[in-house]
Amino acid sequence: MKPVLRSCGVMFLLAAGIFVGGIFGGITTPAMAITAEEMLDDPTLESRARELSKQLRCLVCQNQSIDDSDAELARDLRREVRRQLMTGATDSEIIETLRGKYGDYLLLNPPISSGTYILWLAPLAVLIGGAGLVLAARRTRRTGAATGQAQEQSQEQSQEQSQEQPHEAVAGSDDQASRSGFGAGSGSGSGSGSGFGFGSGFGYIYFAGGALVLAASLGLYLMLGRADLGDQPLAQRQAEIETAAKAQNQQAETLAAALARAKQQTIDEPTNVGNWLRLAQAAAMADDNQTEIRALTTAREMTGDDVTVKSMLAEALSRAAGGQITVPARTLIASVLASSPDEPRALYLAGLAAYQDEDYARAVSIWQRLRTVSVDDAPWMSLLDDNIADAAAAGGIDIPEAQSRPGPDEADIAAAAEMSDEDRTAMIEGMVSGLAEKLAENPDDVEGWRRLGRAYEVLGRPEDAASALISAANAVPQDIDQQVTTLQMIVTSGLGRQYITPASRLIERATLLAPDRLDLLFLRGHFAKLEGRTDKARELWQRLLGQLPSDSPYIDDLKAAIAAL
Amino acid sequence: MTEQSTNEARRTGPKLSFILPLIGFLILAGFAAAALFATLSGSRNPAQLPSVLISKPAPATPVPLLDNGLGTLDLADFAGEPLLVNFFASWCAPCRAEAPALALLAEGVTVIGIAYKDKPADTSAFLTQFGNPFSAIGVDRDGRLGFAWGVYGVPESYVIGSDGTVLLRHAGPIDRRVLDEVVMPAIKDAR
Amino acid sequence: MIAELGHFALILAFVTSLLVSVVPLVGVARGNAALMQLAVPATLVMTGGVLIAFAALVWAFVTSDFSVALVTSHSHSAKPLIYKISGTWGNHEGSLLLWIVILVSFAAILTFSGRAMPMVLKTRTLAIQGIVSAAFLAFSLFTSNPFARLSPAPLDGNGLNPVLQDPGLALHPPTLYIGYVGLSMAFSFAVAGLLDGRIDRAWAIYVRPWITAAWCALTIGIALGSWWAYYELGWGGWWFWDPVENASLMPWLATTALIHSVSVVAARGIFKSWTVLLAILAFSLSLVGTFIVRSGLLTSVHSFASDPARGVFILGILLFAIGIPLALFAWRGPQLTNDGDYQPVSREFGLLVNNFLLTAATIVVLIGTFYPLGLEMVSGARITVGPPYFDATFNPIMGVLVLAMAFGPVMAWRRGTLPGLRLVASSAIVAALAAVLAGLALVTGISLAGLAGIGMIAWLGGGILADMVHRMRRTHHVGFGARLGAIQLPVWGMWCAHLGMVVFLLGALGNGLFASEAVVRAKPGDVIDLAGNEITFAGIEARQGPNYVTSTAMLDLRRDGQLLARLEPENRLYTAERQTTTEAAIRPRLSGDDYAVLGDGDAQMGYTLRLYHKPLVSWIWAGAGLMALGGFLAAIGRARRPQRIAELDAPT
Repeated sequence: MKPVLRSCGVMFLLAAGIFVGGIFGGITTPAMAITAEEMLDDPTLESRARELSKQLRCLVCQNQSIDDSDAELARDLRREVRRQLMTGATDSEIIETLRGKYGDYLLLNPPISSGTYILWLAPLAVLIGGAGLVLAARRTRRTGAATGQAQEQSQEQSQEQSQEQPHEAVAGSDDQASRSGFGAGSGSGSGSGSGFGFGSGFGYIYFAGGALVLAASLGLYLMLGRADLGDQPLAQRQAEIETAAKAQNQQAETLAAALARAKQQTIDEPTNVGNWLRLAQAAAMADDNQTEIRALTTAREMTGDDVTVKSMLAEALSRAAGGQITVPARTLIASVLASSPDEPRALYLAGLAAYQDEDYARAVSIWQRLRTVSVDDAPWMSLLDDNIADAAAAGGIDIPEAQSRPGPDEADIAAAAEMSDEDRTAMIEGMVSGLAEKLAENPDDVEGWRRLGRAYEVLGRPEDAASALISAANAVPQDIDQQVTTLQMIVTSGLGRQYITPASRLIERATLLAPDRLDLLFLRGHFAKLEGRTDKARELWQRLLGQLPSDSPYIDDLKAAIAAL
Repeated sequence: MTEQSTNEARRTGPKLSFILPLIGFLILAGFAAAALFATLSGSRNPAQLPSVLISKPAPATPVPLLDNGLGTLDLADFAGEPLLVNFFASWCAPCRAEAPALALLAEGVTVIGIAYKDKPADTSAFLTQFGNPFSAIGVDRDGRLGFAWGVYGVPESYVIGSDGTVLLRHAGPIDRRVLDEVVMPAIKDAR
Repeated sequence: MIAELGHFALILAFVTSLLVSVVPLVGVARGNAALMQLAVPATLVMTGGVLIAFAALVWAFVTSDFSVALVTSHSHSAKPLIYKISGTWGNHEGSLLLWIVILVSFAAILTFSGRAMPMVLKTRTLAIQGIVSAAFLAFSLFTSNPFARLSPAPLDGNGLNPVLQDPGLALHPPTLYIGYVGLSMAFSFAVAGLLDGRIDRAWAIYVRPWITAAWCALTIGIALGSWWAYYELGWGGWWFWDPVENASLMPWLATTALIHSVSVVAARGIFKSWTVLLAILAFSLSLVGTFIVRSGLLTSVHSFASDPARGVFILGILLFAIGIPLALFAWRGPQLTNDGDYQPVSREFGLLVNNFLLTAATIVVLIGTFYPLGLEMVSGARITVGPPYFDATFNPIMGVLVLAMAFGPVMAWRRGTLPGLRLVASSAIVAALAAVLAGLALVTGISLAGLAGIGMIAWLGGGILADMVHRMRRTHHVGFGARLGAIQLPVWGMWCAHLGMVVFLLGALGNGLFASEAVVRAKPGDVIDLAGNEITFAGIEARQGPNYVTSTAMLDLRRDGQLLARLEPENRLYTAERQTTTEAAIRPRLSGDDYAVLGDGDAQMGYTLRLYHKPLVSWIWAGAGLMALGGFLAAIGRARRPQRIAELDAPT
């Protein structure tokens, strides 16, 4: 977050961003200048106040007197002027007092001082010097006239003549050329005597010049232009705009509903930490920073200063401050990193804090550390790489070649391959229970849920795997792929009937996001069949059949399935 | 030929006057170029105005303390060491950006805050959210103290020497760069 | 592909401008007519390219093509069509393109109109114009490309600053730019003349229409800007001595001097080097204005969102486009010979005084504008040079000029006599005395400056009337109509322009001396007395505009119980931009404007109302209009009656 403008009254802020058509019109004055309350009752004093105000510059504005300005500071100064007038101060006393506070910059009438002698003397010097030059020019002219009176005469005569052909003196041939005008096809134009005729010369020069210009223009255009981008007038984008608006509304509704649900859950079951974390997550997605912070604070108390929750809180505090890693957030981050130096969120935020301090080297080193402690497919990796590149560019730092350390998962798996079956299962079970515990506290960790699901599948516990994947899908309700993957897993492991209720929620969500997705159509039909709504299932599958390409290998299976209904 | 000889006659005239416009233009362009490159390099900021208070004693206008509203803030209590006096307000967006740098500064230097034209409740909330680096906070509700100091916008910071004279004014937020390049050198000089 | 077509056309124009800058000059140096002739078609191609580019940009704005970055940052789909169009130049990039459009169009007009001109002069002039065009095209393409694209395109734009959503934006910049850029022609002619090493009366006659046209446009452009500020800014001021305003005033003053001195060259063949210098300086000053507006170096209420990096580029253009011609002038200027002498009491000398005073005024404005910057660079001190400084220095110089203006027109060329002197002097003195006495008698507590102003205006008015009488007497026709008809159009133009000055001064003085003002906190039903009128605050209502909502105050203006008008000042909230503006309500009359502004407030505490009566204020702009009309008449007169070079005519 770059430091922003100082807050110096509306005028300044507006003027800073303003264009003007060359001249004029830059000022916006919503409610300007003096108000009736400020004015003094005594008309003499008030008129003195107005006159004084016109002599004083509004310091934060661009060349406005405090009389014209509506900036806060201008109002303060107007009041100060009037306050002093009431105490009987003279005009010059008031000007001097204010000058003593704000300096000469305040005075629209620059006071005479060592710095302004030149300014005030310049007009006089210009007048005197200019008059001197005028006289001097006249004297030389006279001298010239005196010494060459005769010449003068004859020159005047020759001048009269030369008016007939004003430029004959330039070059004998030029006139000829000029009289022939553009497009004349005859006449040898030049005095060079090269015999360069218009007829052939023009053609050649025009061809060469035209070709050169076109080639150079094309070359430059290829560098600057975007030939690949067509016009996109608004009139042709109605569909796009409507879709975007619909999606936005829908998302807002979904988020609001999710937030309301999460709130209700914390009321129903306030002792469940997961509920508070879910509320925090829903609030974050709905941009409700205050609710998020409250929920996380509660969760932090309940978990007894869990590092993940503390990191989440630090992030929430920073988001509430418009992205700035605030001092309280920094304190939290520092305490997290003191106990668990590899906490990814805290590391990320610590790097951001360094970046905001313009300490780019530190930002890069912190973020690179985060990179090494993260698994390779961690969801923040691409963002992290962008940030590192950004900070390195800002600080002019060469990034050491990122060594791709094998992620802990790979290492674990490699280790697991050398173990006996029992040991392996034990180790995976250990990992799984650790992961499950972590996820109970941090339910928005999609990647964690996915990993847990995979682990359960390996362990041959499909029900648990399905639950984990449903949690993953719930953590990212906008991620259509996750919804579909989860549904597929449920169907392929034959758990459809058992998980019909959660699955229908996923289907509902996914249908909103992508009603025409083909694999989703199949899944919807499948669950409709399981629910016993064969008509619905048939309708959906028929629709799918109509949309499948004619050479699709699934067509026969699908037809068979429809027939089986 | 007549023209040639007339030219000769005229050559005696003041030639300097023909060079004057060029000289005038080059002077003007020189100033413009100097200002432009100073702006580009960051050493010139038109929004920074020099303070009248430099090398003068800091104005001693007592204001109530934020804590309870009972005590008064008197800079004389902090005499003997360099100070940073920071005018801020909860309504001032750039003031938020200062907190981290001020917190860092406060580890080695006494930082005094003046809540300029701000409601004490708002000030407290602001400090809770963004951190409180201040050793003491004065409340300048009507801007009287700010006027005495010639404050023309918030945030604005002053470095005060051990003897109570004003050494530096920085108008605008203090970030790490300003801290390292502007504020810290002034404080080092003061020590 | 329209946006890309525009981009390509702009690039094509740039490359062609490089050709125009080099090849014809090579042709002149080598005496190769074919190369010289290339200037004409290449100029036309360049102009065509720029026009296509500009049309494409307007199209992008009109169709709200948000894949063009400029449209996204300065337009909005909900904006009325007129502001979509004028919004094209309501920003740095677009206005720069408009500037270039005018620059190349002038060159194109020269290719058609200058058929009688000597080939070398025309070729060089086109080439110089090409060089200036190339510099600005490069500036546009490489630092301020209006055709930068966005992908994916946003769904809507950021909107246009509400202050600019005003007919003023449609009119003021184009007019002003025609003035600024029109001076480039005088500049190119001057540099070409210096390269020729020859300035003569024919040169003056060729260049004069361009100067007159630029001066008229500049006059109207500045007046429009002043008028726009007057009604838009909401406190009824019309001139603020802001750097950007000064940047337009300086070229105007220099051009006013130029328009007079070029007539001396045309009539008498003297003041050549001075005229060439003025022509260079006038355009240089308009370039300096561009620099001020676009570099952000001087703080101004009128600047673009400033970018010092762009400033560096413009500074480069400045050094190149002003420095080299001035160096050329220092080298070649002394060789420009005068064709004659003049007497101390002659029109030549009168015009020399005119030029001297106008130039001094220009330099004073220049110093006042740049002094704070210079001082800051030298000593680090920051000062402000505001209106009081200009009132104290600029106004007296202009005062002397106004006094001298009464006598200039009656002076004869060459001769050392003043044929109409007695008539003019006596009527000027009588008029001035009468006006001062009337002022003392009628206005209680009139200031000394006010009296001086009144006297001065009457002096000038009396002088002009006497000159009219004098000239009519001098013609040998019988009958008033015949005598009127015998006066040449350029003389009418001069009178018109000089009377415009009288009208302008009357407006400025009337507004300055007799304006009245009331600032009140009012509730519906309140009645305010102002300048003999009763203003009833009828109430406040909310209204819906095309892309804004208002709160509008309804004020009934009555005199002696009779309703004169309903004034409806309002505050607007522009919904897309989330900005508010204040719209003054004005009842303009020749005798003076009633001007009302709605300030802050609510139903409980009442509303701040600012009410003004501004006598004669519209005469300020009417005067400027008359001046421009005068220039126009003179130009028409000369065009209708082809110039005989030795002819004596009026300097306007």
